[in-house]
Amino acid sequence: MTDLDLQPPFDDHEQQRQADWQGLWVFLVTEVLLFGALFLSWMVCRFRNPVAFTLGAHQQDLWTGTLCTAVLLTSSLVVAFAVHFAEAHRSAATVACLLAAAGLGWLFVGLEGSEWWHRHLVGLIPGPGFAVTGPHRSALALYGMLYLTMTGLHGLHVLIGTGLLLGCVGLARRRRLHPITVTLVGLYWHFVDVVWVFLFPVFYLVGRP
Amino acid sequence: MVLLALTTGASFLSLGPWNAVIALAIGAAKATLIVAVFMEVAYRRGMTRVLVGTGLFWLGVMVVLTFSDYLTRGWIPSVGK
Repeated sequence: MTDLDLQPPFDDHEQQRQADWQGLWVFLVTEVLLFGALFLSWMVCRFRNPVAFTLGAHQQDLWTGTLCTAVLLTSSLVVAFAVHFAEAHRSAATVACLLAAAGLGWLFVGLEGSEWWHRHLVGLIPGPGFAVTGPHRSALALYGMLYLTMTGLHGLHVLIGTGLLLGCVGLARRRRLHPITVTLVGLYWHFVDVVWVFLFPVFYLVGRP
Repeated sequence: MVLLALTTGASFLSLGPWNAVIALAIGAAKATLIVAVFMEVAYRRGMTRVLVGTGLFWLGVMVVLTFSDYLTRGWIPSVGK
């Protein structure tokens, strides 16, 4: 594992590294605004329908959510180790950590999928087959759609992240992996974890008695 | 550190929360830990902190302006609505 070659506009490796780092952060800022807009939607809807959203929170399976949080936090730790090993030029250890983190990412997506499937079976997915009745029906449908949209978008980001992690493994196999690549992929993965750290209380904890 | 974040969340669950602010505050604390340590924001000076601060500032603008609309509806009577 070697460092990336110096590209033309940069004077030295440190400057190139800083530019790579800040470039990804600019992207992450746009992602913050993307998820931020959805969180804002949740805030407004909860503000206007407090009772219905409290009911919605009660319908969530708290243990699945907690397990998802634990899985993602562990995967972030594993990715941090991968970055550490990559900077120490230990290729085998890096690959092992990347594979483990990707596996945990897939586990997370599987847990989310099972949660969605469970909601489908119980009749909580808005649309045909929506089994909720009573005065809060439309607000609970709103809650359901927000939940699906936000966890769905987040799950898509997790899948993209696992793709990036496996891509790094592929590069390592061909001896073309650079530490900065692992660092930047790790940065993306930590961001995805941060989003879930906010998603979890928003949908699972807020409104519990 | 990860375990600390996990146990923070877990202990919060067993207490039986009744305040949304507490839940989100713990989430924010965990996120700050991840951002500061894993994403090394605490270790890098200069542009990175500016970028992170800018993102949070824009998020804040979005939230403040949106809620300034929703919270003030009905304050001033308007014709026909």
